[in-house]
This record gives sequence, C-alpha cells and structure tokens, in this order.
Amino acid sequence: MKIILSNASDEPLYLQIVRQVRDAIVNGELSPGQPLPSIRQLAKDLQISVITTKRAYEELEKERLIDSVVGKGSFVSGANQAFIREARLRQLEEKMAEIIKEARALQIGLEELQAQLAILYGQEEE
Amino acid sequence: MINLVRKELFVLSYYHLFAVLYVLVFGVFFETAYSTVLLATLPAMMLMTFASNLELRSKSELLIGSLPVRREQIVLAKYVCLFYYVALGLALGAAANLINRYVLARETDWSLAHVSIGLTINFLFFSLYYPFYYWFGQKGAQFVVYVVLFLATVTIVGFSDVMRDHFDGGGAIDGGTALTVLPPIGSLALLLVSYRLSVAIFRKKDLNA
Amino acid sequence: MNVIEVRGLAKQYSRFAMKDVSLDIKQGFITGLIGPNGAGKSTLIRMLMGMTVPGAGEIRIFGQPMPRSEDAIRQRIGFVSEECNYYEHLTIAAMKRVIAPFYRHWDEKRFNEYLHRFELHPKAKIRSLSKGMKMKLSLCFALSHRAELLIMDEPTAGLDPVFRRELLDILADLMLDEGRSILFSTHITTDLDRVADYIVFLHQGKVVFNESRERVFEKYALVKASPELLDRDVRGLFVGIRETAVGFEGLTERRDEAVRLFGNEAVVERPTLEDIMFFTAKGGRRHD
Repeated sequence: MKIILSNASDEPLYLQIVRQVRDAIVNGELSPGQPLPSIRQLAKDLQISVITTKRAYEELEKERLIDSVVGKGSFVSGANQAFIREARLRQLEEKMAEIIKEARALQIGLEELQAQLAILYGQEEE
Repeated sequence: MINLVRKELFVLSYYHLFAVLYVLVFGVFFETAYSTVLLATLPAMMLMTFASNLELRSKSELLIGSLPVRREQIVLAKYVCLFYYVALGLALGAAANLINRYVLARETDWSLAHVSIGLTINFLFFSLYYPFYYWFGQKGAQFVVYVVLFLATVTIVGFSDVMRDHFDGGGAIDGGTALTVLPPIGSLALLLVSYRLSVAIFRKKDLNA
Repeated sequence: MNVIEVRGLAKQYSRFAMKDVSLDIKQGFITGLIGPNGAGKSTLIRMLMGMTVPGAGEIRIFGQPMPRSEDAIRQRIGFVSEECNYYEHLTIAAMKRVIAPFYRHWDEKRFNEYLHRFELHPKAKIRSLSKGMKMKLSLCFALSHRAELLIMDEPTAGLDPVFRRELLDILADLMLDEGRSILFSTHITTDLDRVADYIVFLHQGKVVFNESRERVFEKYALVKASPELLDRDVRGLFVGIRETAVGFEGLTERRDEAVRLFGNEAVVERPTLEDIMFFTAKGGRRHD
C-alpha cells in the first residue's frame, strides 16, 4: 500500500490518507480482509501524529471501508462488491458532473456532448 | 536508601586515601600533644567534606532528584553515612595510635575516653552541620563547614588540655563511666533531632537552586 | 486517560511567576511543551519531577499524588535533561553501577544495546564525554528501566542535526507501545512538527493552549494583507501583528472568522509553531 502525503496541499492530512486508502480499496489494490498497518505504525512511517492516523481510520470505518478489531488491528472490510461498486459509481458521477460543467463553460450542448461520448465509447471498444 | 549510601561510598572511592594520608601525617609523622583528640574527631569530618565537595562539583543533586527516592531517604542516607565516617575515622585514629605505640614505641594516651570524645564531638558537629547544609544548599554549607571546623579544632585543642588534666590511666575520664558514656548518647539524641529538622527543611527546598 | 494531571500549580521566583497552571497530559501520546526561554517550561518540568517544590497546587502522575508517592512514581519515569549531572570522575560502567540498583525493572541488556547504538564506551570516563554524548548517556539511562513516561527537558539542544533526527526516530519508535507517554520541552519547534501529537504552549508562566497539533493548525492562521485593512476592530482579531510599509502579517486564533472577514483581500496561511510563538510573544509585549 502506498500513501504519499503533501504538507503543501490544502487538504488536511487525515483526508489525504482517507482518500488514498479509499482509492486503493476501490481500485482493488487492497483486497477485502487485508490487514492495514496499525495507526501507530502508520504514524511512525508517515512521520505524523498518531491522532491524525487515528482520525483517518475512524473516517474510513465510518464509510465502512475498513473494520477495526480491538487487539488485532484494522482490516479492509469484506465489503461486498456492490458496496465498492457504489463507491465507484459515486466517483463516476462526480467525474460526469465535472464534464458537464466544463461542457457548459465551453457552451457545448447536451446533444453534442452525447454524440461526442458515443464516439469515444465506440472508440474504447475497438 | 541503601543504594544512596552505597552510592556515596562508591563515589568517594579513592578519596578515602586522603583520610588515611591525613591520619598518617598528623597522627604518626607529625605527632603532637593534640594528635589523639584530633585523630578521633577530624577524619570523619574530612571524609564528609570530600563527599560534599564531590556532590557540589558534579551538581549531582539533580541526578539524585531524578531517582526513585523520597526526600527522607536522601537525608537518612546522609545520616547513615556519617556513622560510617565516624567509625572509619575512629578506626583510623586507633590504627595510627597502635602504630605509634607498638611500631614507633611512642607513648600515647589513646583510650576509651578519646573514643567517647570523638563520638560526641562528631555527633555534635554533624547535628549542627546537616541542618545548615540543607538550609543553605551545598554552596552555603561549605562556608558553614569551614566555620564549624575552625570552632571544632579550637574546642578539640581546648579539650585536649582538659583531657590531659583528667586522664586517670584507667581509660576513662574521672567522673567514671557515666561521663564517658553519657555525652555520646546525649549527642546521639541531638542527632536524631537534627535528622528530623533536616528532613523538614529539605522537604521544602528546590533541588540545585 | 491522563498520565499527568496538574491543578492550580503556582511558583514564585524573583523575576518570574507561575500562577494557577492547570493541565492534563494524555497517556499514549507525545506531548510537546513549547515556549520561549523563560516561559516556565523547565520550572514546570522540575515541579513534575519533584525537584522543585510548588508554591501551591496539586500534581498527580499515574493517578498518584506528588510528592507523596514520588519514589513509586519515579520508578516509572525516565528523565532526560540538558543538564546531565553525573559524577565526572566515574566511568560510564561505574555510573551504571550506581544508578541501576535504584530501579526495580532495570534492563541491562537494553542499556548495553543503547550504549552500543549511541557509540558510547562503558569504560569511557564521564568527564571525557562531549555534551552531546552526555545527553545520549542520559537517554540510555532513561530508556533502560521500562519507563512508562519519558520526561525530557530540552533534549535536542546541543545535539547535532543528524542525531536530533535519530532521536526523534527513537521517540517515534517508542510510541509504538501505546502504554508509553512522552513529554518533551523544547524551543526548537521544528522537532515537534515531526513527532508531537499534542502541544502545550507556555508563555510567561501561563498555558496559552493545550491541544492536538491538528487542532492547533485548524485554529491558528497567518493573515497577510495590506495595512490599510487594519482598523481597531480588525486588530482585535489578532494575537500579534507585524506591520511594515508593504503589508502586515498577523496571527489569529480564529481562522474561520479571518477567512470570512478578509475573503480575497488577504492571504491566509497555515502558520508554523515558530510563528505562533513569535506572534504570541510579540502581542504579549504590546499589551504589557
């Protein structure tokens, strides 16, 4: 698992961790049941406060992406594919929203957009 | 507390030799009429002064302060050490005396009375010294040592004269065993009072202030 | 769970006073104690250790009162100070023979491992050690009796930058055990940026804040803008301000308010701990 933090970014450290772990799970880099480093080990490796890693893990637990077992540590939750799919669908929606925004800025109408999409979709299949 | 006593003795290590040297010099090589009483009293004070100096030089109060010991234990260790100093001092004095009497065939007047005087004067000295030591801190106490040492020496010299007048050859001052035994016991009692006082003072002090 | 609890602590010196200091140090974390020289950091630490007698107040460590249980408490504390006072005429091995018997849980093996790691020789005379080496020796002793609490008074002052990093690494390593706590006073704030979980900022004998490092940086902000924007009300937002002909810099502890107030007219940045110390001191001086 790879986590790279930036102090210069506006995004709080704990959210950077959450995002990167979430991405790794959604992309399949982390498999269900796989153990994660303990919050203290992670804090040491990233050279940040244990409070930050704890907060990140708590956030991930809230999203039900990981499970924490007292005395054993944290593991990627055996979330069903549907859940992950849901997360990915959400990401897709966000990306679509971005595309629509940009299209509007360029004053490209819906039909033109759909046409463009069809072409690209077709191209992908080839 | 035992550890503190052990520490003090361990740290003193080769400074013990200075005391031996002192005893040899003033007791054997430069023996005077006052020697016997001086021998009975001063080695202990010297040892204690060395120990104090070592503590002062390394500012070890902070180190001691970081150790898992209570203030009373620190004070108690110092008082226990003084018994060691006194015993050693008397032993050295007696040894010098033996050397004088049997090796160098000089006449000496070492007797039980001298042991009694040695104990008394030492106990009195330390009873006074330690509360001042704890009140003024190590630096102030150094000054007190010099004053008290001076007074002690004067007293001892005075005592020596008195001793010679009353020496009855039987190993005791006239006035009998009572006068030999009571002063040490009395000053021992004073020592106990001094201990309580020292603890009370030390409890309120900042270390290495 | 708090490893240290302090209530109403006070101490009076001729040129310095600490009044009514109360704080809690959480167990299982590294707490950094920052403040300018003379802020009272060493005084506070000495009072925690029982070396300095408080004028008033209560101290509890591991839930037990100081100084009544001072011997039991100090069994579990490793202490490192920039003044390492050992007997100069002894060797390291001899010094160890003096110190080790005091501790119930002395770990000889670990002591030797640390000596080796810090390149210290048991036969070396203490008077031949440099300041940095004495500090390392201090660390060896502090870490060799299974201490649950490490109290360090300016441990990195006088250390070369290479060893300073190594020390911080060692501390981070120690914290993998969540039963341990570290309290570490320093005026080199960059060290805390690396390891501290909580920060206590002491200034002129008072606790300015005692927060997690995250929270500190969420609250405080450095605002840079044109000096024309500074009117009396705006000034009130700042803890301390530095004004020049070309702009001003101000530290505020109300970041959200500042962002709302200034909007696009100012640059609002994350301050360093050093900025926080500097501006607090600056502001304090103006209000005297």
